[in-house]
Amino acid sequence: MRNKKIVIIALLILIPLINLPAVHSVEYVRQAESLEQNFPSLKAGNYYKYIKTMNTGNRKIQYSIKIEITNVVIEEKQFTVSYRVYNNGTLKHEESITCPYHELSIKLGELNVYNTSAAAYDELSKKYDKRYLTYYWVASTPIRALALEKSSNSYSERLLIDEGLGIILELDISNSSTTIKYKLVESNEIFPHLGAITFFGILIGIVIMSLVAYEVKTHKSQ
Amino acid sequence: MGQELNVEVHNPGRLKLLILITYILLVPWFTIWAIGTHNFSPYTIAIISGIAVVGAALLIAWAAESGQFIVSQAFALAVLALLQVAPEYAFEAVLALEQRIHLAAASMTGANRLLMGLGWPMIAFIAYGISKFKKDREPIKEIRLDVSQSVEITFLVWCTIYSFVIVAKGTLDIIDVFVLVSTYIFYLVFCLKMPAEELDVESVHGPARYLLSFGTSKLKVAITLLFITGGLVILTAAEPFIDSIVEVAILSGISAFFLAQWLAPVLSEFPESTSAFYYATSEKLAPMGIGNLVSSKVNQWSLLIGTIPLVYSLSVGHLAFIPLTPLQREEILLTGAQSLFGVVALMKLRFTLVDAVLLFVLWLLQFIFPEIRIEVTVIYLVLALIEMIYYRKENYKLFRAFAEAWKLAFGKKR
Repeated sequence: MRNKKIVIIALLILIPLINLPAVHSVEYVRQAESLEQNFPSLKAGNYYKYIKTMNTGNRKIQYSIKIEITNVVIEEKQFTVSYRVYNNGTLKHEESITCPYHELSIKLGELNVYNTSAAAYDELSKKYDKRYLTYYWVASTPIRALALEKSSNSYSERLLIDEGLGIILELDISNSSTTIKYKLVESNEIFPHLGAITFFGILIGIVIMSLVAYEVKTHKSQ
Repeated sequence: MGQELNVEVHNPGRLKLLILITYILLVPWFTIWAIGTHNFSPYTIAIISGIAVVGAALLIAWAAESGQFIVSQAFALAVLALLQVAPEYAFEAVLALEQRIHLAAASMTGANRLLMGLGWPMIAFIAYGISKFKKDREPIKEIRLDVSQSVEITFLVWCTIYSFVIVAKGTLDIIDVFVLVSTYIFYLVFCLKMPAEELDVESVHGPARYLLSFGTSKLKVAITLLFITGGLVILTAAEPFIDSIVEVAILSGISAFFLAQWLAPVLSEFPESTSAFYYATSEKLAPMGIGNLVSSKVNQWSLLIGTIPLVYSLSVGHLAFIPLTPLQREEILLTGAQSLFGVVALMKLRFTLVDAVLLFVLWLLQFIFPEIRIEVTVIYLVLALIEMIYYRKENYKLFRAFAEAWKLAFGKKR
């Protein structure tokens, strides 16, 4: 009986003790989750490879730019992204940048990654004259893209953003003398044959539904 | 309807105790909720609210199972079936409302895959295992489905095709709400137009059967009480549960996506699966076990997915598209491929042990090695094609049965 009392008292003391550090860390957890939700492109190990083409007069320069996320550190009020930039496979730049959460975009070298929340896209669109939706193809995979355009005097810009990942798919900048074009060609986050596999699945499904429809039709007339 | 049911119950004391224990399981949650969840660690909240959610889901399942005997078939289909999946919907709604779409997608695909990859095979394994112990008859190597189940299977084919369209589009949006909710409504209408089937009291077991032994008026009071209690728990515990498992995941270094994908569905699917597994113990009822889980799949693929963009739009304040990340697209594609293989396996109106083993092994593979999801997707699709060709003559059973059902539902009445 006495033992039981001791156990109950111990439990009554233990339960509040266990819960004492009650979630000072909640804010941190929320921030960490919001990073995953709002910047899904920023994962250590992800890379995005672009082809950059520059036209100036009769000169044309073309090379590849690869942005590789090497580390992401989550802190309570901010996060730090470390990344490397390779030009034609050679390491050109390495940096760690610290950003507050809910930033609209983060510049990694010469290219931005964008916050994917609906509010952030609405905010970003205000800086452009035209906003529409389109599809961008990586091999057989269609990617839903948010297209933004603006122009003033001789300057014009057309930006295609992967709506899901928040990365640039295509960026065209031109002024009176120069045209610069970035085009995403490869990323370990985008599986290029996803479209073909999806189409295969749809095809099998359509065959089944056609057979069902045929049977319903012939059965009806009997 | 409304008539006294003459139900014999074995060991009512044990069943009464089971209901009482389930109610007791809810007490810690209501205590925490009354004190304020902010005073407790996420670990405590996750465990206590998780237990409460299972308890509530059980109460709702018992109420729905016994309730179908005192209401019209239309009401049973439209309302009771929906209430039965309330815990799952509550999780999804909370996640969509909080705009935590990556977790909503995780929970939705996890629930779907769990049901087919673990739930369906378990029915075949239980039926086989139990029949093997009974020496007087042959072990059950396949579960023969009833022709009336062709309706659910065909609707599941349609929902599965549409899931591939979602992957191709790369978004969840208001068009999906329209298509998927219309599919669900059409499914309900189809079921209601079919000649009503006599409900068999013998198929009801456990506490639901005990409830049926009450008189009609007492039964109504009991069912209302169970629904209210279950509903209250779901209403108060769904959000803290989801929040706490995400916090637990991040604090313990486990992927929140993984916990939302597997833990939440395991708890919310628990009552449905318990009933289905019970049916599997009897040769006569085993097809009903599969049938129940197929209906749940139709429900999940249509209404559950269809409501996510709607709730999300409500939370954003205007009609909003949910852009899917590559990971979410791959997850939906994998779920769709599994679903396609599952329905193709049922097209011959037999669910064989081989089908069950394949579904289970592939589910286990992608569960242990999530990074091979694309490879597993391709295997599912290839297997679906092989099975479709191999059983091409038998598959006509489904098409004919569905055509017959269509004629019964929408043909000219003589």
